[in-house]
Formats: sequence, C-alpha cells, structure tokens
Amino acid sequence: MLRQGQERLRFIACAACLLFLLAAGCNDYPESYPPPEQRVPLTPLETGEEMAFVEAGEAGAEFYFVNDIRALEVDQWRWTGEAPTLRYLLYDVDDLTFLMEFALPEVSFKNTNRITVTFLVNGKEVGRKQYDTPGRRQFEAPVDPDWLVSGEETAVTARVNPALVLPDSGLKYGLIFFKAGFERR
Amino acid sequence: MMQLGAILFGAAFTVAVCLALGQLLLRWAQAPLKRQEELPLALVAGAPILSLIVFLLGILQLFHWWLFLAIGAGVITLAVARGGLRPGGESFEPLASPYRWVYAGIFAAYGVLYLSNAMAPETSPDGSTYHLGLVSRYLRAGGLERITTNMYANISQGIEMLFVFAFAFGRHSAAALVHLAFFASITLSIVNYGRRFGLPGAGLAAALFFFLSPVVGRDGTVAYNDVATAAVLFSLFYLLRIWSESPSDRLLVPIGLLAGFCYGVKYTAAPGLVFAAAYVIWKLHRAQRLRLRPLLIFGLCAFLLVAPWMVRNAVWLDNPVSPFFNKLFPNPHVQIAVEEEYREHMRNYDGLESHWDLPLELTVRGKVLRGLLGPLFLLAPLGLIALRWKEGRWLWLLALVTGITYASNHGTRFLIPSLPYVALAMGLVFTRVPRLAPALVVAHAVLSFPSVILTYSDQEVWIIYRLHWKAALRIETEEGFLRRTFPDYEVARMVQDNVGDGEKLLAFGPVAEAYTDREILVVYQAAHNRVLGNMLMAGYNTGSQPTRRIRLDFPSGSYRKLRLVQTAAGFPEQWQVSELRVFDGSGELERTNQWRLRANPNPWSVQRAFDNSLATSWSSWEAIRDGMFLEIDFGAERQASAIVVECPPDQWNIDLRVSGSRDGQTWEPVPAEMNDTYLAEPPKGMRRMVANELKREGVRYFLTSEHDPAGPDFEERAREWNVTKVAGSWGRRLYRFN
Repeated sequence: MLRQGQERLRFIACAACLLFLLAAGCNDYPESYPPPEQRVPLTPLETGEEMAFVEAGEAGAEFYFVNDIRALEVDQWRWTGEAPTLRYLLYDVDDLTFLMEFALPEVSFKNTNRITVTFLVNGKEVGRKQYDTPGRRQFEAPVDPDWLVSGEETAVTARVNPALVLPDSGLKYGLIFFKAGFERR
Repeated sequence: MMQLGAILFGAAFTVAVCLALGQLLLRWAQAPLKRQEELPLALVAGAPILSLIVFLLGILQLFHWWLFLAIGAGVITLAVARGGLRPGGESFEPLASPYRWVYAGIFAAYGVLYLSNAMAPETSPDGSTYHLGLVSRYLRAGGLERITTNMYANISQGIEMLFVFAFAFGRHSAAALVHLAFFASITLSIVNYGRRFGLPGAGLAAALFFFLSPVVGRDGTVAYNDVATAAVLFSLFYLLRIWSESPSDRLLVPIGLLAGFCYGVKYTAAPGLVFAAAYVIWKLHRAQRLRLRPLLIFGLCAFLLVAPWMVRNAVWLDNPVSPFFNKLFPNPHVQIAVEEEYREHMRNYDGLESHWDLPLELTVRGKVLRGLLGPLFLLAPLGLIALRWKEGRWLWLLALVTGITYASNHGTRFLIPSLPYVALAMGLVFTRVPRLAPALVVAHAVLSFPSVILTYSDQEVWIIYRLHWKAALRIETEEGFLRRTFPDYEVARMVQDNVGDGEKLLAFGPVAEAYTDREILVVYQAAHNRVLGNMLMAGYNTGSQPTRRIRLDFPSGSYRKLRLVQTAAGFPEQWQVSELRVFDGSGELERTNQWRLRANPNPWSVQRAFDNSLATSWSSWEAIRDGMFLEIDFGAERQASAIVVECPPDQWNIDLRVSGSRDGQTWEPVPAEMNDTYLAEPPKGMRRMVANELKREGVRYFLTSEHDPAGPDFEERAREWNVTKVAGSWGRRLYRFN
C-alpha cells in the first residue's frame, strides 16, 4: 500500500516536472519574417518642420521648387530659367531676412552688359539688384512680416532680366542656383 | 464610515481566512506548538494556501468578490467546526522581564503609529505603482492576464494574491493592513522564538529591535511585500527547527508549502527554499531516515507554490524566471541588455559612492538606499559574539541565507528578511550584560521616532513621518488626503481624466497605476516599452538618430541569401540598424513578399530594419559579439552589389562583414569595401516620423516632465511632434499625438 502510494507520488512529480519543462521550452515564434508594410517617406510639408531654407543639392530639395529650376549638376548647383520660383513654409514670420546665393556665369553676359535680378516674396518686391560682371553673388534683404503668413506657403521668385536664350532650342537660362531661404535676424 | 468598514472587513477577512487555513493545516500536521505560537504561525502557514487558491481563481478568470466571500466563509466555518477557535497547546512560561510594561508601552505606541499609517490611503512608491496597480488591474480584468508590458507583472506575486483578496473588499488600505498583519505576525514569532529556544529576553529585545526599525515600520505599513517575505522565511525556519526536534512527515507539508512560498512571494527569498531543502535532506540523512516519502512530501508541497509562477511565466512570457535569466530563455518581452541594466542599477544606487558607505547609509542616513535600519544596527557587528554559541551560529547562518541576495540589490529594505536573525543574535549578546538590552530598546525607540530620525538622517528619507489618524479613520476623505499629500495621485487622476479608455500612454517614469485604469507603458518596464522609448528618443536625441551610413560594396554577384554579420566583441555597446538596404549598382532591390528576414539575436524585431522608416530600428539588445547577423533570403537568386546600413552613430566598435549564399545552404564570405559616412544633420522630419510610428503602435499619449530630456523638446517642438498638450500637473505634462 505504502509502496503504491509512493509510486503514485513519484508519477505525479515526474509528470508535473515534464509538463513544466515542456511549457518552458515551448514557443511558437516564426523563424523568419516577411518585409513589413513599407512606410512612405514624409514630404517636407508633412514633417511639421519649418521649410525655411534649401540648398540645391540637399535631399528632398525638389519639394521646394515650384517652377523653373533644373536638374542638379555635380551635386551642388542647378541652372534656373528666367523666373525660378521656390516655396517655403514658415511658422515664426518675425525678423526674417531673405537670402539667396547664386552665380551669374560669363555666358550670361554674352549678349548683355548688365543683368537685373528682381526678388519677390509672395509677389511683393523685396529687392532688385543689377550685376555688371559674372561671378558668385549673394542677395540679402529683410522681409516685412506682413507679407508672410505663418503656417502657409510662401512663394519666392527671382526674376532674371535678361535671361540667356539658347538660339537652337530657345531655352532660357537665368542664373546658377546654390541656396536660398529665410534666416532669422 | 462604509469605506472604513470595507477596509477593515477586507483586511480582517483575508487575515481570518489565512488564519483558518493555517490553523487547519498546523493542527492536521500535529505541529507541537505552544498556544502563543499558533496565531502568528497559522497566519503565515495559511497564506500560501490562500495565495494558491487566489492564483487558481485568477487563471480561471474567477475574480469575484462574492466568490472570495463564499470561499473565505467556507474556510472559516470549517476551521471553527474543527475547533480552530479553541486554543491548542500549552502556554509558554509568562515573560518575567521586569521591563515588560515598558516594552508593552513601546509596542502600543508604535502599534498605533503603524496602524494609522497602514489604514491611511496608500501613498508608497511601489505600492501605488505596481504592487496595487497590478492587483487592481487583475480585479478589473476578472482574473490574471498576460501582461508583456510590465516586468513587475512577471515576478512571483504570492503576497499580491492575498492583496487581491483583500482589495476586492477594502481596496488599497485593506491590502496594506494585510501586510501589517504579517508584520505583527513576525514580531510575535520573534518573541516566541526566544521563548521556545530558551532566550526569552533576547527574543523580546530582538522583536523590538526589528519592530522599531524605521525601514521595517515604513515597509510593513504599506502594500509592499518585504516584511511579509521576512515573515514567511522566519516561519519556515521556525517550523524547521521544530521539525528537527520533533520530526514528522506531516509537518513537512507546511514546511514544504512555506519553502515554496519563499519563491512565490519574492525571487530574492528563493535561497530560503534551497536552504530548507538542504536542511531537510541533511537532517534526514543524519538521522538515517533519508527516504523518498518525506522528500516527496516536502518537494511536492514546495513545487505547488513554485510551479504556478514558473508555468505562468513559461507559458505567457517564454521564460519561467522572467524577468531574469533572459540569456538562458531568450524572449521578446525582456531584453538581455535591459535585464543587465536593471541588475546593475539595483547593485549601484545613485549616490552610493563606495561600499564603505553602506553601514552609515543603511543605519543613519537612509536617503541613498531608500530607508534606514536605525543607528542601533551600527552595533550589529557585536552580534557576531553570538557565534560563540550554537544558537548564535544558527542565527548567523540564517542571516546569511536570507541576506545573500542583498548583493543583488542594495536597497535597505532588501535586508529586512535577514534582520530578525541579526536582531536575535544582537539580543543574545546584549542580554548577557544586565540592563543593556532594555536600555538599547528604549534608545532604539527614541531614535526611531519620526521627528527624532530627521535630526540625524538625510532629509526626504523613506520613513513614517507622522500619525495619520484622521485619514486612517476616513474623517479626512481619501481623495482629500491623497490630493494633499501625494502628488503622484494628482498625476494619476490627470491621466485618468484625459486619456481615453483603451488608449495607451507612454511614460519614462512610473505612474501611480493603483489610481487609474488607463494602460501605461513605462519605458524601463518591458522590451516593447523600451523599443517605443528608444523610438521616441530618436526624435530628439542626436545620438539616437540614424545619421550614420555604412556602405559595403562588393563585386556584383547572384545570391539567394545575404547576411550582414557583426564580428566585433568585447565592447558594451549594442548593434543597432535603422534600415538595411540592398543595391544592385545604383538601384535598390525592391523588398518583395518573397523575401524572408532573420536576425540573431533578437529575431522578433528584425522587420524594424526593413520597414523604410528611420524612426524604427532593430537592435541586438545585448553587447556586441561575434556572429550576430541580419539575413535576407530573397526567395530566389538575386543580383546584388552593395548593402547600405542606416544607423545611429554611437556604435563605434561594430565591425560589419558580408556573407552570401547561392544555394541557401552554404555560406561564403563576400569581400566588401566599407565606406562609413556621417550626416551633419539628422534626417528631416524625425519627430513627425517617430510620432507616426508611435501612433501606429497604438500609443496616443505621452507623459513627460520638465526633468526628462524629452520634456523641453515636446514643449518647444510640439508642432513637429504633432502633439497637443492636454494637461499638466506637478511638473508632469500630458501630450496627445494628433
């Protein structure tokens, strides 16, 4: 009787241990996984960040370009047409300076001695400059905050006069664009 | 008044059921106990049974107050029917100490202080966060549930099962009162220990040394489990001593249950189980009675109380001893690195500059180790004189067994389980000198008085500060008391009022979850939360942002599988990959459904390196070692010539190699030229990307404080995070992801 009781106890103990070990060793994770749903990169407008400044070669620069800006050349500059237009998204519109870095190459002066560039912010003229010689230039001018609307797109146009017109194709070339945008004073 | 009645009923009923079960068990086991021993030992001996019953009800999703009531009433009725109310056994000789009235006065004064604090609304850090937070969650859920987002739910919860029973009737304070009952039990048992083993004076003095210790008083009056753990261990060793003098197989049942319950109440008490098993074997062997039957009785009873927690963890968390030993049981719920960090943190409390500071920190200062034993325990080394006597050697052996895990956590309260034996050893020595023990008791009582403590301890130390009789009796409302004294309550209510039902809140610090039913993911508490926390950090912390590009160019070839292998070792850093892209020439290979991705270690989150999001990442979650890999099975041979890894910069020592397989079976190293570049700026829109990913994970709210690095960033860049601040309280701010 005692022996039977002992065996029963032993059996229960062994079964319990076995169950426990089985439970400890079991998991049902897959060995490998398929690629998950691919996330779509955010557009600059979706980031919630200010779009205040753009360089010709930076990733996603195209999102700033509205019109008349051509493909990237050697990673850092782009040809523009006669009225390149860019867009920005500003939230704090006070105390801003508009700045553009560009170049007027020798070829642009082939048919003229003077090139005028007019800078417009939301259609309002922020400055006009005349250039008599080729070279790298920087334009800088304070912007009246009343011309800007926080959280809404700001359009900037640089009107080049006269633009270089290729005789064969009729394509117009304005300036060489490096970077442009708004900086806090 | 109703509330006070519910509190008292919840606690008294739980204690009564434990007592009834313990009484039934001890009488069945024919434990040769004196009358005074029955009550305290029955409470503790019955606790594992009630705890097990509650656990089983929890597994069956049967947490109903009426069922608790029915079961408890049945148990009490059975105990009464079996003569449980009749005192059994003989009495000890009356205590002859001439100081007994002084001692009684001290017990009474501190008893009132302790009772008023235990009855007052729960404001303890751990009690209000996870001890009772989990208890209330289980009761809301109607039973135990699989929780993978809070590692405190993974540890054994034997005492918390008793809290469940009490909380169902009297809520928070009822649970704290149950803990207080264990406190009373162990204090009485220390007195009884002295009386039984011929050292009544030492027992009485030791009981007061223990009872008056500020950290014991604080811990034993809130919904913690350290004092209860000490009571379980003490009762176990108490019964073992009785069994060694009057061996019987029946007595091995409560001993086995208590031994198993050591593991069931707190992992750090597990050495008690091991010691008890070794002691039983040794004693049986010495008596030449080493047979299977007593061992099986002991083993099975212990197993009954250990197995529930191990099986629960094995089934729900893939690790029977979660949240520890994750190297042995790898799982997606607790990362190895997080476990190691946690262990390290517990070993090295902030502010503890040297182990030589331990004596003063533990006994006098108290802030760094969160509690103080009292200056009396500076005399503990004198207790070593007790090693001269056999009883003293036994006590110090038990102090060693119960204190051995202190090495893993230097918090003062982790010494509570070993304190009774140290106190008894001290009592043994001090009672040899006439009038010394009473003088020390009185001095200890004075030095442990709240206003006196603050004259020598650090400020803001974890002690009882005052009597709370108005709050205890609910003359001051619970709400009023909590709002007045406990800022975390305000924060919990802010969460309750503003976070939607069923919505998840991410937080870097704990929240008083006992006062809210919202789902809170505390970053350090689980692997998933940690992943979310790291993701959040990638929004604002440049060290966490994927500004590093590692390009590995190799001769164009056809591969069925490609592996990126990490070969460096011996550095503490982890390997982290935000995106892994494969190129053939200038074109990236499209990730198709044919692809199969693997990682070693941490295979569970490999997809995070292949989701085209720089906000998410795969991490090794352990220090780098040779052989870690990320693997792509293209499903068919594909032409490839480069792997590009986008990752955070702060993993300076990783060494990446490429391996390829054409047949999918055999691997060959692919010689690759590495080009490592760093972006000056983080990718644009990181904050918004992170916010979108958090929302994708179901996180709708984030709780921060001005002290978190994230706090100022959320305040200043709310638009980029796309969040709205919905509320603020006591320096904590609650944001909703829009």
